[in-house]
Amino acid sequence: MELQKFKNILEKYYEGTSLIEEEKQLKSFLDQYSGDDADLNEAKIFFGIINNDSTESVEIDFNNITNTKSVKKIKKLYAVISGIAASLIIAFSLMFLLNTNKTPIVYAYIDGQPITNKQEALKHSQQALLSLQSNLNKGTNKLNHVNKINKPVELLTVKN
Amino acid sequence: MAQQSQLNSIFDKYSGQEGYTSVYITSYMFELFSKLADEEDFDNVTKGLEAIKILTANGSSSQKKAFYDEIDKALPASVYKDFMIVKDGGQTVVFKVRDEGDKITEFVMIVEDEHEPVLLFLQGDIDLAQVAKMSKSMDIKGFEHLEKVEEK
Repeated sequence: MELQKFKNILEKYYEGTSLIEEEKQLKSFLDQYSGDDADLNEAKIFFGIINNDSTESVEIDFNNITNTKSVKKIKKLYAVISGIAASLIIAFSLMFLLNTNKTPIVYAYIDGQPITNKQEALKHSQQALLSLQSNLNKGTNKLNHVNKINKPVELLTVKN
Repeated sequence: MAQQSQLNSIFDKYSGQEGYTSVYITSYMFELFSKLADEEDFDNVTKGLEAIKILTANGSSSQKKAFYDEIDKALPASVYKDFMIVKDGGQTVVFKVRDEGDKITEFVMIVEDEHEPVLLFLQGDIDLAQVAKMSKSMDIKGFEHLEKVEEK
């Protein structure tokens, strides 16, 4: 009898015509019910799910989410910056090497114009040094006359 | 602080100008000399050199006169000491040196010639004894083999 009574309340609940007091009674009955009636067992599960959903708490660790996302962002940014820096270093190094290799050696300047041809620079260098040499020789060769002083010195020495 | 050499200013001023011929031999040329020359004395002279500069005036008489006057002002007696003066016919050659402590830093030759006055100066760490030795012989052996020097 009691079983049929609560099945009627259950039917009224599904139809949406049950009273709140009747629903409370039904819930209380279903919490203790352990029989084989399929409708009541199904209702027991239904009411259990609704109740669990209403009391279940959702714990979301916002700090963890925020930190994880920040770390990932920073790591990504670091990787991008490192990549750009490495590319720039390689590019500048190549430019420097290419420019260094291209710059010819200036051996001399003639009337302000750079001379990178060895033969031409050598010709002018020889002329310059020969000019220095010949003028120096004019003076130093005459110094040989100083040796003539030795003769009278020798004579004087012997005499004494 | 040592007085700055005004010879470089004169050289730069007239280099490339009409009526003047300038030659500036760089230290790279001296390194090439070292590779080629068999003369140890020559190598000893050039190893301390930084530059050799030559300036000749081949313009008008007034230009040459101005050239001499400017050189004279650039070589004050307090800084540049007479090394040797050679008078040969109508030509006078004056050698001067500039020293800083124990080092000769400039060796200057001025050829006073009515046709072509010449200013030649060496700069660097100059060994006068080696410069004098160099005047004995300047047959620089090996220069004919220049073309065999490998380009690096």
